Amino acid sequence: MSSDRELVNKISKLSRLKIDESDIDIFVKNFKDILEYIDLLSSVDTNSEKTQDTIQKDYAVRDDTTIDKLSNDEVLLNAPNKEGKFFAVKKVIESE
Amino acid sequence: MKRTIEDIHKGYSKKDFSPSELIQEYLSKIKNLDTKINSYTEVFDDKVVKHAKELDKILHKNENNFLFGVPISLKDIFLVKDEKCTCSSKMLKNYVSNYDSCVYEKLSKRNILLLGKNNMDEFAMGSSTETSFFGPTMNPWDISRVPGGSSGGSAASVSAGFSCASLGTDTGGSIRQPASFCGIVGLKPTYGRVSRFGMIAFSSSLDQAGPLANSVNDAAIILDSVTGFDSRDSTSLNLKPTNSYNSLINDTYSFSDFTFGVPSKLLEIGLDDEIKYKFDELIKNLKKLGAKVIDIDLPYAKYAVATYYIIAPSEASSNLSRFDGIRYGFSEESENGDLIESYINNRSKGFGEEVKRRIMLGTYSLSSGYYDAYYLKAIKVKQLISNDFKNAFSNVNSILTPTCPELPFKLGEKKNDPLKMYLSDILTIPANLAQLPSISIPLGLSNQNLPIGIQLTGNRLDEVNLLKMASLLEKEINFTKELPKF
Repeated sequence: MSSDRELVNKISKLSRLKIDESDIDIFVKNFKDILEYIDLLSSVDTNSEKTQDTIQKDYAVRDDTTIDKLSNDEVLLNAPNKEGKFFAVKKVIESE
Repeated sequence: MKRTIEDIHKGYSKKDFSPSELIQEYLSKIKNLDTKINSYTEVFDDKVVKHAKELDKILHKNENNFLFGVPISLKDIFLVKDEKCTCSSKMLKNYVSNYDSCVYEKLSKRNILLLGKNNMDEFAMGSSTETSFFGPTMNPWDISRVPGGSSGGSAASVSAGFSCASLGTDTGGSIRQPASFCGIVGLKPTYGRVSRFGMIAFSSSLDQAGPLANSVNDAAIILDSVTGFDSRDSTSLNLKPTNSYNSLINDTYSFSDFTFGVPSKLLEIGLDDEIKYKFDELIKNLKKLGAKVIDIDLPYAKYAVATYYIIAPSEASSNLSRFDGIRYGFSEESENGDLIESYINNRSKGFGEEVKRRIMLGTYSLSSGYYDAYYLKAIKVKQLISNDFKNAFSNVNSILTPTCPELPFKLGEKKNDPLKMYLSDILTIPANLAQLPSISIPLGLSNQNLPIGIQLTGNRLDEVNLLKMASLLEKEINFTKELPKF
């Protein structure tokens, strides 16, 4: 169980998520059940299968030209924090 | 009584009612009764009343537009400019759309009356509409039971008569399963038929929008109005809009024109007894009516759920990485911690449990050391499942199964067992993986008065024949026109 917990903690970190300590046991159990179920696929012989690209031939390409986009104000419409014409974020580079 | 798009069109032609009168009827029904069902996240009262008044003036000019003045709702996953689009998540509870989805753009050109947005499972992840941040939707046939999901609000609103039709999305059955649970028609078109532009992404290679409606004809009318190439969706097929309604009502066809395939081995998964009985009766009837029914094998379909729960979460983990509380979405002010910590905080508090679970499943499948064993493997099995269908369609025109192996279940019954919830999608998921059109229509009611649905899956891009077969079955089954009482 502790290694399962470690796995869930590692994956949650990669996913930029945190599972509440009070929910972790049930979460780990459900996660493990699902992983065991999807392991069903390991029994399927896929050696002769190539990974085909899923692009259908009826997909269209468009000309590489400028198209109408959202205005600066529209883009910032839902930003929780903004400064002037920009999204505001926390400082990511420390000054010397 | 159920009221179809065709009924409304006739009603307008005969001047039985005006758009304003009709919309008042729907709005008062929603106001008085949706407290019991919770099928809407938002109702656009004032806006739709104003729009109806405008339509009153031009009513006489719209003889050929079946959607004119038809009260329609949208799953809260489609953007409508200047309106909220929440995906039933705390993450997007205040999100305001800054452009229109392609689906809404096309419908609004037809002068529909947009009633509002329907409740759904959070980010379309679920089969019961219980994961909504705004609380569950109840099934109008029995309010102690779920309406299915994820388009459960759409299905419940149409079934209860709170909207004439709704647009939903289907990634693994999210249109067909709720349609089946609520006793209405639900159609998932061929992947790429309907533009995904302005539809919030869950699993981009599987997501497809389609109608939930009161009849096969109504589903066809909506399909014809929302299909067609859209350059803003790179997987939109370069095809003209469908013209299926015209074929449905003008062509001559009968059961003897079609061969139905039944994957009997797949159905050994364990169907509810009543569903099995009703399904077997239908097959016997079909043969009597002159249809050819043959047994087919889809040997890889039993791997569909496992395949789906690798591919869909993988794509979701990537698609949902955009929700960081910086550009949009739930954000909590905090002085402490760095940028990464604020991402973690916003995402952990903004997403519900099921969404977190699926993001993490996907992150796991795509992570270093597991990619080949999970994601790549799933892509190959998906191909094998598609080949199964290709083989089957050399002998049949459609594949017939129940839509779900079980009846609508009680609220809370599966909430703590996600795997059990996932397994109930075994009959709907294969069509998504194989990108095929698939429709659910009502088959009848169980002893407890709960709807049972059957599913027809058609060949790629063959919506017209799929709808013809569904229409023949619909006439034969003659499901009740009465609305559920609750």
